[in-house]
Amino acid sequence: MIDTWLFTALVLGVLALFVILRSIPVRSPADRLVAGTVAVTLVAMTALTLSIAYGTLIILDLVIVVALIGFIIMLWIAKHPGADRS
Amino acid sequence: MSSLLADWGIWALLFTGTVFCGFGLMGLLIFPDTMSRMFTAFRATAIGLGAVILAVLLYGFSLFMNNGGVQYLALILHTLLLGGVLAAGTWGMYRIIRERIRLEQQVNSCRPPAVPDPD
Repeated sequence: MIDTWLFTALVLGVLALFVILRSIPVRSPADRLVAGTVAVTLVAMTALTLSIAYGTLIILDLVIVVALIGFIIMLWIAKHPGADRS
Repeated sequence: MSSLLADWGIWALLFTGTVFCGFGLMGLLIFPDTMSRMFTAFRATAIGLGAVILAVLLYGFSLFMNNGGVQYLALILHTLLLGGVLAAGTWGMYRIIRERIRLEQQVNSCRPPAVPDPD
């Protein structure tokens, strides 16, 4: 029998991968920030469903910290135009 | 195991959440400008996130009512914390990116139109 949580995590993980791949060829910084925000949200949802599928809260704790750090970095980049240009 | 009614509710919410996240990805792919891409992707992903979080809350609550146990309360609290972090982050990004796009549009509208070279 297919585990519903694991299957949902798989689908959301594939969607997150597509969003990350879509953000690579983008040239506009605003567009990249949009894709980054969606990617962080999808990865967090994947981890949330994975933590239930595996029955452990460690994954959930880790992803809360990772999402917090990711949003802080992206907000800093968005507040300082030019910081994302290499 | 949770009850059958809760299982159906969880399944429906997970399905809804996944479908709306797919809409968010489609919004990123098919719309022509950044503003409409951001509008669609953020809204659809937020609805999907809400549905998945509701599914987790329903799962935790039904197991807590059936079996008891602190771990289900911890799951509910951690999920609410994650939802808060994601909602606040997405809202902050939405406001900053919208402001940035407005500034870029103002700068572009102030520029004189390009004059073709007479030669």
